[in-house]
Amino acid sequence: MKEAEFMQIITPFQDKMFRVIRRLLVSIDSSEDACQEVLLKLWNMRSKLSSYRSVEALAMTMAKNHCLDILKSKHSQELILVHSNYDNREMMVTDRIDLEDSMKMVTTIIDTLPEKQRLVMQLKDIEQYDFDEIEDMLEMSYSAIRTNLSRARQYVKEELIKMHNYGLQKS
Amino acid sequence: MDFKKVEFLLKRYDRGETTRSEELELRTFFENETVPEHWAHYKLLFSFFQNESQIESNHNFTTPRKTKFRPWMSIAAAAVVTIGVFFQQYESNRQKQEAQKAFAQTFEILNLVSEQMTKSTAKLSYIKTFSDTTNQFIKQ
Repeated sequence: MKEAEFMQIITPFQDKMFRVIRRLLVSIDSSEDACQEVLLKLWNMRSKLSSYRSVEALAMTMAKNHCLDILKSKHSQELILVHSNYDNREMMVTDRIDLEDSMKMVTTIIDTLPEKQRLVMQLKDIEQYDFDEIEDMLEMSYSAIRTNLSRARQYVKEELIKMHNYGLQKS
Repeated sequence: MDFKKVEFLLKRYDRGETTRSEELELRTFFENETVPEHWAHYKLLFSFFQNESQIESNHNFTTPRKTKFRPWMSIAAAAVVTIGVFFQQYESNRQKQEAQKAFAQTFEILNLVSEQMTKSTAKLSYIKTFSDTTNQFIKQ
């Protein structure tokens, strides 16, 4: 496979993959590195790509596994990160209101979700994949995906309502 | 889209049952309409999803440059190894020869010393005779 051909395959989902990785790893720098590594792995197996039903699904699976490996090896650091997010969030509740801040607030809420829920929400709500595509990517059953998705949506909704009410009381 | 339908879709949405097209409907609804206060958080959430889906990675993937195998590389490598082995052999040979030379020289010097020693000890016999005779005289 030539370089141009490979690029043509990966271009449609390169940004999606970056966003999924970033949702899991949070930091932009490490997400870009991880993205490169996954694409390099794909490039190295380029002769076998035609045997896959969907290279996009394969790429997402690889991205997910890669991120989970990274998170596992940096587990202690990740705990600190979650904690600092939480501080951040407390701060923003007090002086929010404008749109950009509200967006950041949603990000921090989603970032406190367990990895699986975060991942499912990213794939379904932001990347707008169908259930069967997500089943392929995450190697999960439809019902498991649905459970994770509804838990994530419920949690985010409750947190947003909490913030909203808090904001109303303040003003 | 009337509010009844939105409400119905939102319920399904919360349970994770909506399809892609239904979610698209919701997204466009919340993007365009002014919504009741109790749906404000949905409006925020869907516009967040919309925003997030626009983010692009600003890093482009470039395939690694593969180093081509060139025949002269193996020849060069073989030459380096041969020279290395040869040099080591030469070096150890040279050291052996030097050691032998040094040994021979030392041997010669020691021989000389011992020769001189034998010569000198021969002269000592006179002293012995002298002292023996003296002793005889003293005893008498």
